[in-house]
Amino acid sequence: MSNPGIDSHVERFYQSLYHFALSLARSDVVAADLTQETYYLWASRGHQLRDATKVKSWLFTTLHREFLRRQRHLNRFPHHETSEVEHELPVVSSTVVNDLDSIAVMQALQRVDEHYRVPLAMFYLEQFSYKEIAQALDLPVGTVMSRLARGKSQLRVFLGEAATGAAEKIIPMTGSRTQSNG
Amino acid sequence: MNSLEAKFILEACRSGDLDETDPKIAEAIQSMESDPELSQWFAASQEFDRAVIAKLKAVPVPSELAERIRAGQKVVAVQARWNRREWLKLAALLMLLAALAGLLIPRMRSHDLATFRNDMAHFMDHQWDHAFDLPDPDFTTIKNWLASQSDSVQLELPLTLASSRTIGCKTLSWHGNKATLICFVPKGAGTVVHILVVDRSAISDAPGEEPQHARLPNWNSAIWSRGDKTYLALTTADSAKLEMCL
Repeated sequence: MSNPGIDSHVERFYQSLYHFALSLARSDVVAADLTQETYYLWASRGHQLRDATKVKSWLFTTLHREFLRRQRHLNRFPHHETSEVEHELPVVSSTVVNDLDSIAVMQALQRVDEHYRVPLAMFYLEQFSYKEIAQALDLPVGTVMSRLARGKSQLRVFLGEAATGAAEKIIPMTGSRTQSNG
Repeated sequence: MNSLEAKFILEACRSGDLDETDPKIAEAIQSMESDPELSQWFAASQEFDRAVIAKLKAVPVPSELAERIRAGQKVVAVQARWNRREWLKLAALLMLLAALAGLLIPRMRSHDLATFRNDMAHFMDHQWDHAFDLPDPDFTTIKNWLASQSDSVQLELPLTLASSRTIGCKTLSWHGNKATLICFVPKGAGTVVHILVVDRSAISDAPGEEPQHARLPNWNSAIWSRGDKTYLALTTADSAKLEMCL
């Protein structure tokens, strides 16, 4: 390897990067491809990065850029961001999340509007602070805070829907049993 | 700052890294201290975040992904070395050629998988003039023609490729070994899949039957062996489409 310690960067970040890519692309095959592409770019250009503490940010930003580059070929995302908080943040408890399987939680995250999803995925998957996210995405801190709040708000709605959907799939069996046994 | 505004700001924070030097956060913390309900909400919000993080981290990651990443990096590393020492190697080669002038006889030698992959990608990028020895849309015709040229070409390709339309084929020499290029247009791939075939014995670390994927500068690639042949697929299609063809 031409970059010292590159294996450790693969080991350290590839799972979070894959999850980040999966939240963006909504396809496991594309997510794996984006993750591979990011490390490919790291292997060819990473030596230009002088500050080793910026590796995490570099990898996530690069993967996001690569995702956007591919998306530009497919369609355009009109972005509507309001400046006010429209409604009270919905309440979904951690118990609801704990009762869902991991794929359902990822699917809920994938449904969040892309502009909110990107900072939210960085916040959750690699514990970026709002200031680090602002730096990585080149956004004002206030915008990031706003997007995180709205992203979480949407996520709670979708998690609530997922929990309701899961509950509706449970078919009560008591009635027919009682009758046949009686 | 009312409770809703405080919640809006606190949503972006974790309890462990509340930056009190930020006036907005300091104000939100102050609100929390005087509002037990807000404080309770923040604790629940942090618990919610931890639950989401735990679930997201539990989403399965493809088991071979790390290996595929490392394989791709090896490709880059090999090319980077070539670029740095290109002139030095060229000079050395010229000296060798001068010393052995008139004595050079093509010899069959085995080289490693990465060399084969890189050489073939380089051939496709820079050397191939897109001319075929036999341009033909039918794979059976191509197989028969190759068999008539040499009895050592017994191709065993995945059904998706074998049943696809072809563009043509070309034979080339790789370090004294015969290699064959066949270009397919599989349905759904949206582009051409180039298959390069060489004797398995020509590659010192020939792969098994399971395709090994690697991203090259201009190509997605997969390499595998079947029978006495090793097959390299190169395409500009994404890896998902390539996998569909194999």
